[in-house]
Amino acid sequence: MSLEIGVFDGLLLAGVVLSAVVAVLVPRRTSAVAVFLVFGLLLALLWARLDAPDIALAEAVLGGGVTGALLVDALASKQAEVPRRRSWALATGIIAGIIAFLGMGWVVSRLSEPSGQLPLLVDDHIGGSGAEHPVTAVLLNFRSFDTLLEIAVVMTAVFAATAVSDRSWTRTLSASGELRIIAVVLLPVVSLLAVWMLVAGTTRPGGAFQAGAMVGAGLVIAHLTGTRRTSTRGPWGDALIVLGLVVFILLAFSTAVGGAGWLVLGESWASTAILAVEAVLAVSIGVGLARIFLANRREPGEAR
Amino acid sequence: MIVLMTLLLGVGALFMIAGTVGLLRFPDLPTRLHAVAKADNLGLGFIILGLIVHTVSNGVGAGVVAKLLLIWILALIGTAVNSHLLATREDDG
Repeated sequence: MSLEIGVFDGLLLAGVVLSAVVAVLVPRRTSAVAVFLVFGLLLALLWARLDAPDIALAEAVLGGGVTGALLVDALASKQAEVPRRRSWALATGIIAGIIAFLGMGWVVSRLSEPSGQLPLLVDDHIGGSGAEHPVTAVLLNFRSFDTLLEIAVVMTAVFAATAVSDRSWTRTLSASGELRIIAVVLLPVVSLLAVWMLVAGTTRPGGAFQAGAMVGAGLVIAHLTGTRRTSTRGPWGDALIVLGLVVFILLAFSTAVGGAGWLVLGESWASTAILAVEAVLAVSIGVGLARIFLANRREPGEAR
Repeated sequence: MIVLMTLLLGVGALFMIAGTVGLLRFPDLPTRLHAVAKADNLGLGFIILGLIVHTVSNGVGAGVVAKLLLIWILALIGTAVNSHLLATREDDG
C-alpha cells in the first residue's frame, strides 16, 4: 500500500505530533485539555486521510468526544492545580517514553506486510456473517469474544466510577427555561443520530460503540438541562448498564447449548442477532458513559 | 463553479481568522464571545456554502447538502447556547 503524502498530510501530521507534545508539556490543566481536544480532532482527520473511516469515527466520538467531555468535566471540579513537576517525575517520564518508543518501534518493525491474509479472509467469510461491513463483521461475529470482554471492561469501569464518586452527584439539577428548549431541539437529533449509527454499522462505519456514545451524550444533555426521568443512577441505571453484558453472555450460552458453539451465529439469523445485540450494547454503553460523566461531578448544584 | 467555491471558502476563512483574532485580542469575556459567536458562525456559513457549491457541481445528491446545512444549524444552536451560558455565568460572579 503506497500513500501519496501531500502538503496537507504533512501539516496534519506535524499538527498531531505538535499538539500531542504541547498537551503533555503545557503546565496549566485548562490549556492541556484544550490542546488535547485539538489533538483528538486532528487525529480523527489523520485517520480519515488514511482511508480508515471507522477508526476516524471512533476517535472523533470516543477518543476526542467522550474523553474530552470527561476531562472538561473533571476541570469543573475545582481542585488544586497540579503540583510543580519534580525532576524525578520528569526523568521517569522521559525514560518511560523512550522505552515505549523503542518497544513500539520494535513491534512495528516485526509486523508483517499490511496486505496480509486477514482482510482476504474477512472478505471471504463476510457473506455469512450477518453484517455487510467488515469491521462490524469482525467485532460482532468473527471476534465477538473480544467485544464481549470489552463490554465487561466498560461495565467494570462504570461501577468503579460509581463506587469512588461521592454521593452528592445523585442530586437532580434544576435548569433554567432556555436550557429546556435546547433539550427539546437537541435530544431528537441525538436520538436520530444514535439509531442511525447503530443501523449504519451493518453496512458502513458506525456500530454499537459510536451509537452508545451518542446515547451517552443525549443522556448527559438531558440531565444537564434538567429533563425528568433521565437520571442514570439507581437500580434502573444499574440494570441497563449490566443488560448489555448479560444479553451478550446469554447469546453465547444459547449458541453453545443449542447451536454450533460459543457465539457461532447461524447464517440465517446472524444479522438479526447482531443488530439486536448491538442495540442493547449501545444502550448499556450509553447509560454507562453518562454515569461515568455524571459521577465525575462533585458538586452538581454549583454548576448552575 | 470552482471560482465561486474558492471565493466562498476564502471569505469563510477570512471571517474565521477575524473571529480568532477577536478572541485573542479583545479585552473581556463578552467582547470575546461576541467575536467568536458572530464571526465564526458567519465564516462557517460561508464555508458550508462553498462546500455545497462543491457537492452540487460534483453532482452528489441532495442528502449531502442537507447534512451540510444541518451541521451549520447545529453549530449555530451550539454557539448560541455556549455563549449564553458563559455570559450569564460571568454575570453571576
